[in-house]
Amino acid sequence: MRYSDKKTIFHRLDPRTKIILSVGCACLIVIARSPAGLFLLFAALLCCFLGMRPSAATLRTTAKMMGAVFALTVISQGFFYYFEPRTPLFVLLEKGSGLPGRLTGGIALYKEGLVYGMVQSMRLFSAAVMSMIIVMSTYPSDLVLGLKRLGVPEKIAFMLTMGIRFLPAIMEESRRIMTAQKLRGLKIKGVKGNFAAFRSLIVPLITDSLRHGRRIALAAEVRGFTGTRTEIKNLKFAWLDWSALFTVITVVGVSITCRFYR
Amino acid sequence: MNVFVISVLFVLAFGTALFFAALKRKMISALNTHDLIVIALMSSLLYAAGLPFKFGLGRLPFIHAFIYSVPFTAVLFIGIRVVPKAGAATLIIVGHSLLSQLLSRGINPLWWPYPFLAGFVLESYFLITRSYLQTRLNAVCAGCLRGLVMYLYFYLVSAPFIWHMHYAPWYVFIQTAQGVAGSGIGALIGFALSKPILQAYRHGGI
Repeated sequence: MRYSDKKTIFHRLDPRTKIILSVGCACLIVIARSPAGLFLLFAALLCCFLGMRPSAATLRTTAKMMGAVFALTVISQGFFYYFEPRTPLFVLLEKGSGLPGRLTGGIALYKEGLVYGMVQSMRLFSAAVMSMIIVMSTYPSDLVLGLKRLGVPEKIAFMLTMGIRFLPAIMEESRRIMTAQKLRGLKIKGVKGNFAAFRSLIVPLITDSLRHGRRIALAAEVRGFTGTRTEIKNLKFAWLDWSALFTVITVVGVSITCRFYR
Repeated sequence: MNVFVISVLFVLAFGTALFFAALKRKMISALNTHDLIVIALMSSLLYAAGLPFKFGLGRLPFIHAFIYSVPFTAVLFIGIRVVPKAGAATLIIVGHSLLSQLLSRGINPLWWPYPFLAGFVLESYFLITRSYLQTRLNAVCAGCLRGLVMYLYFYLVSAPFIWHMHYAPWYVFIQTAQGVAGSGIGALIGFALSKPILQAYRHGGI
């Protein structure tokens, strides 16, 4: 998932607003208990996501990811459900069947667990959709700027900016190294191959990156770099940001009131 | 009080205590521009190192804890060996976590105690042993400690609170054991690989 250059309402929001929105959304994901509330939250976020007019490929990837998350959550919670009452649909391992049975206390697939998994997967979907909205509508460097304005220390913001800048170079370099290693006969398939590829990649990649880092540090220091920087981009709150903030604060406030003072 | 809230307060108190203990032992030295750039690089490398496993072996269910912890710990420990200073481990882990939130997962502060705890556990280990992975045994112990604390925290605190997902005790045990083993092996690999890297880096030019 990466930034897509479009002119939607989310692209126009200030990065700080988006960060606060995602924090509010994270709170809602944790606070919401009822299946209806969770479904409502997911439906609202899905509408926002579709409002960003994602490409067909993005929609396909999202659907596949959600399918996999749904299946894994339902199956895992079907087996791990421990609330009472619970109705076993089938027993995989009897409680008294040898040492594995005694150690695990028996493994069964529970009907209530399957339902619980279906409900809880809404939480994961909401988190995933929210992250896609943020990632697709904001440049990572703008998010760093937003974090800085919200009080994240200068050094951490500088590190994040550097990390974002380094990542494409590292990916490019790793592709180049892997091609070179494959041409030298490296096999990367299977468990052994995966680890062999890791070993052949990591030593030249890190050595080269460290040298690159040394060059950058030297260039920064000779220019009198102290860690604090000025920004070309100025962040400004518009009426859209204020209304988005008002909406999210109201929704979170109402949810907290409903949850704790009902 | 909620277990998650208690854990957040604990992480805050742990971090503060650690800071003052490091100050008392005179183990805090300022990170210069070069250190910060290397830490940023290692955070990016941690993100990049996991990608081949994410789309390869990491898709295998049940053993993903082992698969993920090997490259993660290996790269992290190389980073710590390159910048053996107080705070470097925490900054690399927190940097990686924030970077992956910025690039793919979306910003969620509820997940922030997790990387801070991972960093603080390693920092306290280095503070007690007064060694930044200088021996193989030190590296393996630090790796296993990281695996143990992080997997237990994830399965017993983070996942039940943030995702409302619960796991059977035997599954938590298996995943934690895999995480400990993977982190121990990753630590050994990181320790072994850091030697040629450090040598090439020290004796190489710019």
